[in-house]
Amino acid sequence: MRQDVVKTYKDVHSWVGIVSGMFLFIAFFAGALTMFREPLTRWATPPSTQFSAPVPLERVEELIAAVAITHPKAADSYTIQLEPGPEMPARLYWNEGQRREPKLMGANLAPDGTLEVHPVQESKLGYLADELHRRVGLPLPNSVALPITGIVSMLYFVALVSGLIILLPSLVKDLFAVRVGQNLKRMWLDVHNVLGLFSLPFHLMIALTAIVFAVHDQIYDAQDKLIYQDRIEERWEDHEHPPAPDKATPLLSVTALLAELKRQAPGFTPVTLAYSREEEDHGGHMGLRVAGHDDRFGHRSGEVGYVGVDSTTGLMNETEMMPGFQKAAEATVTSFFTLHFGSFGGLPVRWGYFLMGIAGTFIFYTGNLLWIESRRKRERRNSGPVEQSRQTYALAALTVGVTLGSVIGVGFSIAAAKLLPGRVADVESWHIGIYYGFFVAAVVWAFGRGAARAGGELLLAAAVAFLAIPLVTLLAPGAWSHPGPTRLVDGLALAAALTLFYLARLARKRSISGQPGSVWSKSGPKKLVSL
Amino acid sequence: MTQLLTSRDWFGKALAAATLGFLLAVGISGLWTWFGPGGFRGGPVKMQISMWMVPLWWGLVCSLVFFFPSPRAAWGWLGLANLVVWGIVLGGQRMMS
Repeated sequence: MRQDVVKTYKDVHSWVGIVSGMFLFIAFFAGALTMFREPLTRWATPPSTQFSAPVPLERVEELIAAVAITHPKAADSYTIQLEPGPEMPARLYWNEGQRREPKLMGANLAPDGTLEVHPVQESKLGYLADELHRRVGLPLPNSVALPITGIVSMLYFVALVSGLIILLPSLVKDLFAVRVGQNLKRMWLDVHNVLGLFSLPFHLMIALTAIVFAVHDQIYDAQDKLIYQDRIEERWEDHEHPPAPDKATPLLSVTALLAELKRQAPGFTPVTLAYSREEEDHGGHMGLRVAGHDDRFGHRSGEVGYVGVDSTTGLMNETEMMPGFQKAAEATVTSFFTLHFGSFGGLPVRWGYFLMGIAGTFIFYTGNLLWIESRRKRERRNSGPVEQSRQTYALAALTVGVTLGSVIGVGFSIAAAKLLPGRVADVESWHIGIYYGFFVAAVVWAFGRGAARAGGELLLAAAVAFLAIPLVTLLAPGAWSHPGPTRLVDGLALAAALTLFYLARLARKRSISGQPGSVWSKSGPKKLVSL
Repeated sequence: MTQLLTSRDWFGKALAAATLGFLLAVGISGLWTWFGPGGFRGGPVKMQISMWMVPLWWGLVCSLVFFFPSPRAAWGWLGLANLVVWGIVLGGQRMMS
């Protein structure tokens, strides 16, 4: 390839990388956590003492009848939970509030037949990790943050293609080489390349789907104006609606319905049954949407796929999002979602996506390192004695502050999950406040101390943050620990803490013994801004 | 002698890709919408696929636009591509309605 092409695309790669890299670090770190959104939510939700053991499915009709008398709003729209757990302790749920201000209520029958009705609130921790992921770390409303996520994702896509273009000429020579040695820049470049190239299909797919998730409304709007002649709403209705049952026909019992569903789709494990009465002009019958999973196929959401079922016969009537029952085009659209969410193939894929997410953060981190290291070299060639520019120090401080700041913030915010409930009124805001408090403090710290000192210190803080997670579970008064796989949250946090302690030691060593004049050496200029 | 590529004139190329590239991507999705299987009223699944293809084409233009020798060439070629694609979409629309 022509040298000028490689040079041009090197510049493109550097600049789109440096603009988007820190956003992407946070998005990947938080995104890796969302792979375990369900265990995280369960881990963080206080045990419920309000409900008896979930009433057997044979008695659900009794429960519905009892709730309908005391809470008429529940009668026309309710969800049956087939796999209750600590975060969803009741059998039946409905929204007693408004659409925009939901107030989730749970109901259950005690063994003696007494109706139990209480408001329920699962922990928002998993949801907040997802919000942080979707907004690339920005504390802004979706209307502002999501377009920025779209731009960051597009820069990310350009970074991937441009990275491939500049790697192609030396591909064979560089591919399997990770040259560990005196030349640190060479080593970081090799690591950056090997990670980037081998996970390229994953990253291309994540980048393109992320653009869609961020700005699909704007794309549909443009298509509405330019292609659908302002009639996109009508075009959405261009499909056959399943025949509606007569609204007078009685509902099939839940146990019979589940048996009928099992007969039609043996591999599908239903999780919730969402009943909701249709408007009168749609027949006024009880609609039913079943959510569940079948690990042999992809799922439309992060955890489940959906199927519309006739509530009077138990027959599937809407399989557009039903794993294993989709037409080719429907399965194609679902594959875009499921490839981003890692919601196929069960637990092994989830772990794989978790590791890919963490590996992704290294690509962005090493990318920033390379930017810093190559600018350093250039300066040396021009001006003899090594005196790093203000920008290089600033970028080094920003890199250390933002990446470790988000790790520290997430660590302490998770650790707070078992301390906040019952002690503060608005748990969600506290989680957000703790995250951004530590994040901003870390960035300020990094600029005040310089990257070399702050690197080791912030790594130590991050280790402490993650160590706090299992410590709170073990020691804090009032903390709880649900049996089962959620204990892995504490185990993973401990492993993260140990890794971070080790990295902190390495960083400290380098700041003492590293090359003088490096931004990572304490012998460089001490401060960027004085605190 | 061919002119050497440089990244100095990135802004004009990037702007062309952001604007004309988007328009071109929507135009290509229009080809699919009007002339793909099922035609204009192909239903919601086809409409979703139509939306999903926009970032792909737009992203390719944004990535490869720096191969154009100059911003002027980028604007010119992307403008021409838009004329062709939108000519087919709008012309086809008129013939079919």
